[in-house]
Amino acid sequence: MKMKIKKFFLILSIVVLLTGCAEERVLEDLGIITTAGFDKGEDGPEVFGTFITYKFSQQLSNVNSPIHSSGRTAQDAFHLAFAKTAKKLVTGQLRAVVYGPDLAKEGIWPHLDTLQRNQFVSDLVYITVSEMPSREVLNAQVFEEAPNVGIYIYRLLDQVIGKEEIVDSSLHEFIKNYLKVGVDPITPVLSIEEDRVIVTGLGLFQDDRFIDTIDLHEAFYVRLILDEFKAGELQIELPTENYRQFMEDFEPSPEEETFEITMQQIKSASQISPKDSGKYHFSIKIRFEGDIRELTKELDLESKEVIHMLEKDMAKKIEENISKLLEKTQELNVDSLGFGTFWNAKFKGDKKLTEEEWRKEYPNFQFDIDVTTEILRHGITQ
Amino acid sequence: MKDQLNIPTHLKFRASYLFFILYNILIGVGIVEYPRRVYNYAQQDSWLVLILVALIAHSIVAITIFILKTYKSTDLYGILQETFGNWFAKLICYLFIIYFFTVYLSALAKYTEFIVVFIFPQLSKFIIGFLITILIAYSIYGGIRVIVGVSFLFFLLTIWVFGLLAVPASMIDTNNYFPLFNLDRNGLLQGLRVSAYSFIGIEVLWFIYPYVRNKDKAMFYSQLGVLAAVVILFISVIISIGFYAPKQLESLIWPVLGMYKIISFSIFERLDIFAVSYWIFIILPNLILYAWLITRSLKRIHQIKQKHSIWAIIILSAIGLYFIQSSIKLEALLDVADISSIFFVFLFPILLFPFAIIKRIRGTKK
Amino acid sequence: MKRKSTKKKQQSLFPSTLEEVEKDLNEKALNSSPDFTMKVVETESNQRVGFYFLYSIIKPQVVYEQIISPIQKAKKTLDIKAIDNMIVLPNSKQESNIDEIAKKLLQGAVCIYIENDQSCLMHSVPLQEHRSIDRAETESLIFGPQMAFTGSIETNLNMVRNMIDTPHLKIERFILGNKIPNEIQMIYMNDIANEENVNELRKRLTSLQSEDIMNASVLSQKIEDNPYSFFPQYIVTELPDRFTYSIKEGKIGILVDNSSAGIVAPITFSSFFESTDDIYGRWVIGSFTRLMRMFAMIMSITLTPLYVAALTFHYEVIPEALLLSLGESRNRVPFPPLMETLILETMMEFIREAGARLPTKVGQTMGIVGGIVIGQAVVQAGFTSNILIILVALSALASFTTPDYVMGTSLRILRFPIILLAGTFGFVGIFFMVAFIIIHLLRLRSLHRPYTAPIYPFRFSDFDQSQVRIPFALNKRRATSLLPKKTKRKKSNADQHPLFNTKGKDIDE
Repeated sequence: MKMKIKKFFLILSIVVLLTGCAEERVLEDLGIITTAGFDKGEDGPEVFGTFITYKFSQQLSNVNSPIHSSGRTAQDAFHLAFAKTAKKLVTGQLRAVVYGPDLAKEGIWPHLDTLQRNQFVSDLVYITVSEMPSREVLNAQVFEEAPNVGIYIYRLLDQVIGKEEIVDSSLHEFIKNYLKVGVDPITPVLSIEEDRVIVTGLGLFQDDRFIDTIDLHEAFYVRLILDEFKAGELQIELPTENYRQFMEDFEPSPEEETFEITMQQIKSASQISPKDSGKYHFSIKIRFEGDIRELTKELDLESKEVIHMLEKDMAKKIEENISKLLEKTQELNVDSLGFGTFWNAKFKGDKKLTEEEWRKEYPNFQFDIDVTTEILRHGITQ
Repeated sequence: MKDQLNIPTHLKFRASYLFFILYNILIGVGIVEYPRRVYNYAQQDSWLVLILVALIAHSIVAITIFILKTYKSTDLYGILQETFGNWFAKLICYLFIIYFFTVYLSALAKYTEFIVVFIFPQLSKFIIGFLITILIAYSIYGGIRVIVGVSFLFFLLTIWVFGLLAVPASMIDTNNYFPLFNLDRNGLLQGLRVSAYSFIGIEVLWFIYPYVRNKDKAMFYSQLGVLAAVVILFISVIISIGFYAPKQLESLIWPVLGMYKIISFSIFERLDIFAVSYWIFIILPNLILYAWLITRSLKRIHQIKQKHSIWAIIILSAIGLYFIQSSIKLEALLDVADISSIFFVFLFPILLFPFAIIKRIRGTKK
Repeated sequence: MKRKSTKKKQQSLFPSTLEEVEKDLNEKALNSSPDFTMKVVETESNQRVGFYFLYSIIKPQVVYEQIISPIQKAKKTLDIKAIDNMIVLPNSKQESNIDEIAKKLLQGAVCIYIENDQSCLMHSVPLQEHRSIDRAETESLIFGPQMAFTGSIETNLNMVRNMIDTPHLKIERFILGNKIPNEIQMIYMNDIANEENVNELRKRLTSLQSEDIMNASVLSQKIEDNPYSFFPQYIVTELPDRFTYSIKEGKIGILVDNSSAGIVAPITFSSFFESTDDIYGRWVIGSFTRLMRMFAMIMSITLTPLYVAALTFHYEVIPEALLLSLGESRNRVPFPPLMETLILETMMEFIREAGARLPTKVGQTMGIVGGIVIGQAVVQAGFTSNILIILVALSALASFTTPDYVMGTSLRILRFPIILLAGTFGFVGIFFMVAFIIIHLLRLRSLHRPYTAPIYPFRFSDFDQSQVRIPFALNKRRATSLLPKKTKRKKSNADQHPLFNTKGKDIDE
């Protein structure tokens, strides 16, 4: 017994001593990349990379100094950046990737594939597109309390997605939507305003090619169809005409043909189902409820009539907006809302859409939109 | 009845521990890639295939225990010896030993592969394998009591890891499951074949049965153990299908580990790193049980001391790991293990079944 | 030749004169002890009676009042029987072998010899100076009786007897130690304790070949199942209430003379994290503290290794909120995390050990100097990161929640190999070591009983008395892991408890 134990510890200690083998990545020696931006290089097929890293020093942390490098591919650009910093660049804490518009329009799948293959990159990395070259976005000098602009972008997206303004756009979601037949990926679009990074809307992709942007207003409807709201917010314009009789302080001012209504605490649920009628015909049912928070005109909200009218008009308006959005996607031929998957989930065999059919047929898809709204409360005042 | 095994009472364990033994030997490295393998053939109906295979596996367990009960308190070697004589029994047991070793080595190599791919790309597989082998030898030295204990404790320690899959489960796309029952015959058969590999390990019953104290309950608990493993496999398949896009699932080598990539806690950012390291607790009882099976059957055939044969296993697995450095070689080894498992797990009990029935009939006549 | 003659003389020691006896005893048998005393008394019947003793280990007052003075006053002619009758003290014995006499003298006896008689009378009046019953030094209780075992086996037995006054308390006595014999008592409830356990322990005690049993801690290590293990396999406790509680639950206790601690066997791993305070306090407090101690144990051995692993290999897992502060504090540190942690952990052990070796008052100053001054300075000098200081302090603190000092220290030392492995293999190393510890615990036994009970072998019904503590009303059975003879508690009030008398009644009835 004694011999065995001795033997065991001998072996153990030998193994331990033998192994300086495991590759060390000591925290403070690393250039931990938080956000990477990729642009098309000036000449030829080059990719121009911008990398934001942590700086572990309080004196330096307020200065934004991205590392730039270019290479044939994104991975190459990353590799070639090693000579531009004293720290070892690593991607394990990557939070967001920003693709410049030129690059995104050519297709980002090759770059995403390398990200996906890299086991150190989390699947929760945000994939974004920028309106201007990403190096300009990442050069923003204002990033609040965040240690660097990369973390600022991450917190910004976290906050915006958490507030249910736009849909989630992690690496996993993007790849899933890209690889699935019947749905196209969406990403947030970043821009720069007064030297700070902002989210301006959603980028619509056809496969991996960036096609167009929709603004945050329209983005609301994307989310409304795709996802549930638990506590969203919506601003909507309604025509003044019908409500004249209920307006207490109505002053005839012909130029104000519409008034605005803001809803909050929105809960919604949507249901998309293909109709089996040979044609590609879908019904979209949306249930929508929330509280009124703000009206630009004073209305007599105690009357049930007004509430009913508001509900009806809002539903109509939402339906209109949705169909406008859908028309836009059909014009661009991007099925960002994934109607193809709903079709494929219902039908098998011949009726199933292949990739080509879906691309070809999507502009001809027809939609029945049916929105029911309900106003639950109207603020804390009558 | 010349070869009744007399296991001392203090070495026997309660039948309820069979649950943990069977669960642990079924859930190992295989589950990590199982969703992909079955999805390749059966697509969104993979879960259906799994249920069919599970039914077969349950009946195989029933047959195995029936045979073992017929021969009272002996193991596979005893049964074969009684039915076919010494020479044949030895041959079959040798085949079993080789098969066990193949499964053992491929599981060990597979786990080391996880670590190399996910955590330490530059670390030699040999060293990780060696560390694990130390643990295996240490627990084999503790005897059957420790081995059963390891199965039990590590079950408790690891079962919650699958609970973490609730996070990817909340992100599933229900469209991926439809349309249902879209399976052709080829897909079904291939899916069944691939799924069968997930049930490597049922044959542990052949050797561990004599150690059970209350044998009347052995059937119940082994079925329950298989059921638990089926449930875990089922969960992982269902979540994988919903979570990934079809093409994505087909292309990912280890979809289950991949799902841990999107789990993130405020105090622990990357659960995949944790899951891969923690998988050692899942794989360890599995490997220990196989190593025990090898030493045990060697002891039955040749009276080789388990103390000695375990060192042989350590040395052989070290040599094995040295040669299986590339994943292509590993896949080849896995294929051997998989194909032979069809015979050892599924066909073998069925072949033995008639002899047991004959023995029962004779026994009642007498 | 000479040897033979002495032997002859020894045999023919009696009858002889008092002076000869003195010479023989002191010079031959006792190696000329300076405290050897002879007192000669001449009775009224002109008999010379000699009293021999070692004055350092007898009670002088008893000797003079109870032994010498009655004989002095005797009127009749005395023989050995008569003397025995005159002295009211118990424990007398006639002895004629000089070695035996010497042995008895060394244990605090008085030898009474009437000149020219055939044998002498031994009376045991030992003086044992021990500290009085005092507060426990290594284990501390909040609610429990504030007393500890003393060095005297009589006092200790007295305490145990007082606490368990039932005839079922069985005490077996052994004299162990080949060179320096020592008294050992094995105490158990013969109606509850498992016979196999008792036999096994008796076998181990009687077959123990040892020069010297120093004290309970040493004895416990000599009769362990696995002497190489990190973990103690018996509880050595200073607290009589813990000792008696274990006996009442069916365990076996061992008392050792001249040792202010008792051994409890067999025990399980979880019993090291139990304190009798859990029983005295309310069940919620008891259950909570027990679970907390378990948690603290796990934390104390994994916290710093996790730090080392995360900072050396797995920077990916560090949350964004922590990354910057970790990086900033690590930035100035000249050592790799493994070295840094080992240095700091060693420093922590220095402080602990210095505190333990120094007198209490100085020890406290030590703690302040070591903990606060050095800790502060070390961080300011950029020697270690301040987060590590927090972790090391936290894990040291967590390890002190273990009620058993030996177990606490073992766990703290166990941290070092885990840190080493964490520094070479990251999380894989930590989990490797944890798996190793678990397998080791599974292999361990205490008196052939599984160490990990009731977790494995799994006995759910025992959890209510080990991992948590349930209200007494529900506690109807003893823990079955140790296989006590009776599991059901005698006349438990559980069935009559008002809680259970409400069957069939509504709330307000």
